[in-house]
Amino acid sequence: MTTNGTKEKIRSFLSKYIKKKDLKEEDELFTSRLVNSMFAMQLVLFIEKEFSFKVENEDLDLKNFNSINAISAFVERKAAP
Amino acid sequence: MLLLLLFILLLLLLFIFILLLLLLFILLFIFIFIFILLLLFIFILLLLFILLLLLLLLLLFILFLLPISKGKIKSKDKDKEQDKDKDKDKDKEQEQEKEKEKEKEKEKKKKKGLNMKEISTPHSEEERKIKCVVWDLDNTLWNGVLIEGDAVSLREEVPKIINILDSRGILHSVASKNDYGQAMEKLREFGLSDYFLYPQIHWDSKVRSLKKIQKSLNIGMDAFAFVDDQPFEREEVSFSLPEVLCIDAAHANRLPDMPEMNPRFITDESEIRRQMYLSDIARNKVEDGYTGPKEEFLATLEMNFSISPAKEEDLKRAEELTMRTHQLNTTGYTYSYNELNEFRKSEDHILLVAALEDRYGTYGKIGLMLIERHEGLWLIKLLLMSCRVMSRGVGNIMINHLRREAKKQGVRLQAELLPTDRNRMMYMTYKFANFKEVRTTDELVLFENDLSNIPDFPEYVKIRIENY
Repeated sequence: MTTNGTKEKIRSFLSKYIKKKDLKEEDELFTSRLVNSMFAMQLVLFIEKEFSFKVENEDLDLKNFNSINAISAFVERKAAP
Repeated sequence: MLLLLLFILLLLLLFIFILLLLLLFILLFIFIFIFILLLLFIFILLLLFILLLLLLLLLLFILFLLPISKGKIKSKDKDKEQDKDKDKDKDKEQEQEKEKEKEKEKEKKKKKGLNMKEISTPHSEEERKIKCVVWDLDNTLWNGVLIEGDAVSLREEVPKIINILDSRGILHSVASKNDYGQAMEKLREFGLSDYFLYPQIHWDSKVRSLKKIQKSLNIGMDAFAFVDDQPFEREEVSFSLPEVLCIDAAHANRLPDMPEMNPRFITDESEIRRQMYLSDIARNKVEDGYTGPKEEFLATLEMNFSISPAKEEDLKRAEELTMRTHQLNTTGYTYSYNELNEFRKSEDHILLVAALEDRYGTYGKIGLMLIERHEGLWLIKLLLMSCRVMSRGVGNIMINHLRREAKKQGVRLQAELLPTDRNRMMYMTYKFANFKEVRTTDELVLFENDLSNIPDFPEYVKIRIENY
């Protein structure tokens, strides 16, 4: 999958929860309080299902999830064979 | 010369003799080989025979024992003791509900050295508690068959039973093969329609109706009782859903006295449980129809969230929360009423209760926090919230409140977390709220928060904090 494809998928998932228009790829999701941490669970479940790999405890770090860029990089790192 | 010839002859003879001997040996080997093969063959035959016998036995078992166990289920309400065998085979999903009704003794045991396996052990019959009674209509709730144009009359004892159980926090629903409009009209006429959550009135099987109700209420199948006058319906349900307690409509008047219908806790929450489900149904209808972003929807709920130190009247509910909450629970420690009361009075502890309400009604007391005060340090021993508020975004409010308060008091903030297969969300909540793992001993994870970057409370909820 291309990086852009990954980002598009993440963006479309996020758009269901974040009201901010034209969310930028580097916008901070958690630290800027755009979303709450219950949402985090849904995000992790989404990632696990959409990209079919398990997010381990040690991966549960804000820096892996805090922006579209971060999530995409994380997904690509984990999903790479 | 002659001697040499003789010698050669002798050598030849010897040679022939050895050859013969070799031949004999080879023959012997072949014989042995064939013998072993034969043995193997016999062995395989024997094995096949045993397998066949086993299969036959299994078939016999299925053919004969199944009708017997069915018979058992049929006479269940008459003979409660027989239920005991049944209870053993239930899958984890149903155990989840059972756990909530655990005996106090067991709960105390697991309090400190908590062993997660212990929680999921099967429970004995005495502990089984029903949370929802599903009623048939014709000749069960009322006398007569509606669709045949009978002038049906409500069975005399039924409203009383429903009322008693309702006040204990036991919910009611309907599984009836009837015309929906007609039947609902009748229920309204009898003044009972508000008691039944997710009524299933259609021509589909009762098993499917029960499954639907179970899914909507999100409680374990073993917390259901099913009341029907028709043996056929009860048997069908018993067969497909053996966890369900099937009751003959003729014995409905015994319901209030059954131990299964007497919950261990009756709290303020129990009394309004049905109301809470009703407001939840209304809420979900709006939520399903809402297409905008989540936060916008939350804002339409006009939520009021409060955090206050636990009062004596909160303790029963607090105890219930520690025992019933598994998913959104950081440690799973359970505390009895008395222990909680000690914490409440103790200088070394802070016990906080959170409540939530919105324009559709109250969610009741839905959160609990227990903090151990040490010199210059607060340790969050327990942080839990009811699944009812899972998608309301209030978990973070609790944590961020504690972060702020710790900062204000100038103490460090640590938190314990005991991971289970169900509370991963709490692990994430801590991690994403900037808690860092300090160390892990055995299973227990110790987190610490550096109290920086504490976010503001969200705008979509009004927050009231009582001083403590």
